[in-house]
Amino acid sequence: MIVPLALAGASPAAASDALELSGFVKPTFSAVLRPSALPREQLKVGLASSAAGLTFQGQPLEQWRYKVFFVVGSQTFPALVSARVVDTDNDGAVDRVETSSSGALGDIVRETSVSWVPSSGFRIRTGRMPVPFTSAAQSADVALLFPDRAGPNDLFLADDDLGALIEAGAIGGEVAMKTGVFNGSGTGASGSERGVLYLARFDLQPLGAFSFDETNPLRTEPRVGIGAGLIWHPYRAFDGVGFPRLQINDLRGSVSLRLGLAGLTLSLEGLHRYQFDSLTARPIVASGAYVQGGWRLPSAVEPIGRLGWAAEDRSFAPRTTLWTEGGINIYPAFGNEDESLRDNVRMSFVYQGEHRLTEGESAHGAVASLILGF
Amino acid sequence: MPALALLLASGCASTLAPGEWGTFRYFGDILGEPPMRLLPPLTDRDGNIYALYGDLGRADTQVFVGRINGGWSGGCSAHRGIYGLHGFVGRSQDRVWYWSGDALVEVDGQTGACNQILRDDPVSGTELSFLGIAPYIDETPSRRFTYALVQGGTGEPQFLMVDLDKALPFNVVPFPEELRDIAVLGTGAWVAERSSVFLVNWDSEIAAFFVDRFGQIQATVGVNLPPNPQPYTILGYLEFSDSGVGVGVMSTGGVFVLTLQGGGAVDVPFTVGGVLRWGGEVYVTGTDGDEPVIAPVTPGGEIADAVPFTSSITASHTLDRKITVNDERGDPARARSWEAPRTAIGEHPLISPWPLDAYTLWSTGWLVAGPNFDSGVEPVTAVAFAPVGLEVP
Repeated sequence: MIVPLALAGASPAAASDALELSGFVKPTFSAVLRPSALPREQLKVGLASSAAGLTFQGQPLEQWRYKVFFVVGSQTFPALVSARVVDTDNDGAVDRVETSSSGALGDIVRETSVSWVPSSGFRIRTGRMPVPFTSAAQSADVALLFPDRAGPNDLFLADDDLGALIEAGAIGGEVAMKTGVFNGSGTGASGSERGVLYLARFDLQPLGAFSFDETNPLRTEPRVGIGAGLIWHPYRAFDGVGFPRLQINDLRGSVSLRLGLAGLTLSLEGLHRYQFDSLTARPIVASGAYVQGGWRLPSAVEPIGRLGWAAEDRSFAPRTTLWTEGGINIYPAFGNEDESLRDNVRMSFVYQGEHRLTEGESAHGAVASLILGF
Repeated sequence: MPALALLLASGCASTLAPGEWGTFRYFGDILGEPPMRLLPPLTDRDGNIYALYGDLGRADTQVFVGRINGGWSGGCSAHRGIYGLHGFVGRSQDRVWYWSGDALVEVDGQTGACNQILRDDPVSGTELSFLGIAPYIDETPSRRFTYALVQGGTGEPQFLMVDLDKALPFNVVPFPEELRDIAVLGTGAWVAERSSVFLVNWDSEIAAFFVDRFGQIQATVGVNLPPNPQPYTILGYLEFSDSGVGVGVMSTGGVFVLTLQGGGAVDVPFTVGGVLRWGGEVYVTGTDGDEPVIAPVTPGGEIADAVPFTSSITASHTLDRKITVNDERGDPARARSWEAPRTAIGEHPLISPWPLDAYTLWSTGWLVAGPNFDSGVEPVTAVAFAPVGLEVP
């Protein structure tokens, strides 16, 4: 089974191999219908969401671990390679700008971190890594219930970040605390802004250790996870000549509840953002929530469903979006004799609906995804 | 824990009380003295601020753009035609559009650049005159439209949808009468129904055309007004409540009320100064004596009794003292003092025939005038933007 490097698994004792290699390949076919778009944009069909990931990790020295995780998507972004202005009527005014682009790969590094693990319940990790602000952000890409994370989750924290994280666990993994500092690029702050992002995350699993994997093998004992995360990102924005213009405080909070029993998983997560500054008297307020569930049947079939909601720009012009998703996961290798390999192949067939309630537009998507882990 | 305490304490940290001013952001020195040829400012979703200079009788329209994180562009000019500035059309994520003369102009919030769009018919090359543009952007994740009454050369007027991203006309509908000589008296938008409204005069007829989000005429309503009103007799725009009552200020000083059942001038027992759409309701604002007043408009189109407009009164009183402004005309910004600030728009803050921006759900943006000097032609006055708390009865 593919799992993220869990705190409980980071042993300080015996040095293991200097290199462990794992990864996944995820071809994904998607079709998105947006009826009110321009005809060219109304139907998008293809393998644009396909990806492959490769993880190098190991413990070359006692108490020291590393992890390098690359994800390469099939979709390139159009990088501008030339631009020229066009004056079609020779009146001296620019009528349009002609550009040409070439496909380019985006950032493929998801994690490059070094960990110091002096004891089984304590770890200091530094480098580039996912910010563990939500429970979904702590799930490995291959352990998600759906092909992608919930829409509200991406809205509140979209990217990985550079920083340092202290992780501590107690009582056999039933209590986990994380606190760290990051540079804040994952929250959308630009290069002319300076500040440090502070993170705190607390998870309580009163019935025993409960992995952040969103899919649930056929475990019979119940599991409960309660968590909360808080991000505080104070930073200064500077003008073009290098003087400070304003001080910004960006606060984001999350609460989560996870339940697992006999193949049934249920996750609820609520998110809130409040950003204010010293100049504008115009706070940025947004809220979001989602609930998702899946039921792993003994036949290796898992019906899944998810409902997401987000309200942006709540302080001046509220804009509400609703996501409705449902489908099925199939685990073809579930009959494998090696229990650890049973989840390494998963097929997903999902309907994804995005309903922009304020603007009055809906989009409907169908996704067929295959994940093969190794 | 400090972050948690900050989160809890900041719940109301950024809100403004009614009539309370936020930071004054000095952005330019502008021709004229109060009341100046300036419209109430508008903001886009990113928080960039747009201040429009001009009026219906002049061709020197200029737009100033303030960025969300400070700093302003020096002013961009784009205009075409005999008439002058009509007003903002609407906003999107990082830009706004305005209507000046015969031109529809897009303003980029990141660069401050302004450009006419759909200046010519893309097929015939004929220059297009925007006789009327509804103050409404129908925005979805995939497209952005506004709605206009357009005439190409001396051709017949046409209603059309303007794709603001492609700068192309869609769903062209000829004006119902076979006429070429029409006068637009005003435009408006019933936002709750995504409907654009055009008040038009031809021969001895006056009617309001309601156009739906697909560019089709959904209703034509006869209007009772004195004959031969002057073009653009509605100052600013017709502003509609969610229940469908449109209200505008007439250049003759009265109030015009429009519903799907009809429209006409309405007497008001105070001096009318403006219309305010806030929270889905519309209000008539003005002065009674010298005191700012505000009167709600009922769903039946009647104007209720006026009460003191406390937000305007408080905002006026707050300006009766020296203020500190953040001079953002160049980098780095500097603090300056203005001894005798005044409202730059109208006689009282928050009273204008043009729409007030929902800067937040509890404040709008306004412009304040500072010291001036004589340029030899006309005084030049320092102008600052500031948010101000707004509460309606």
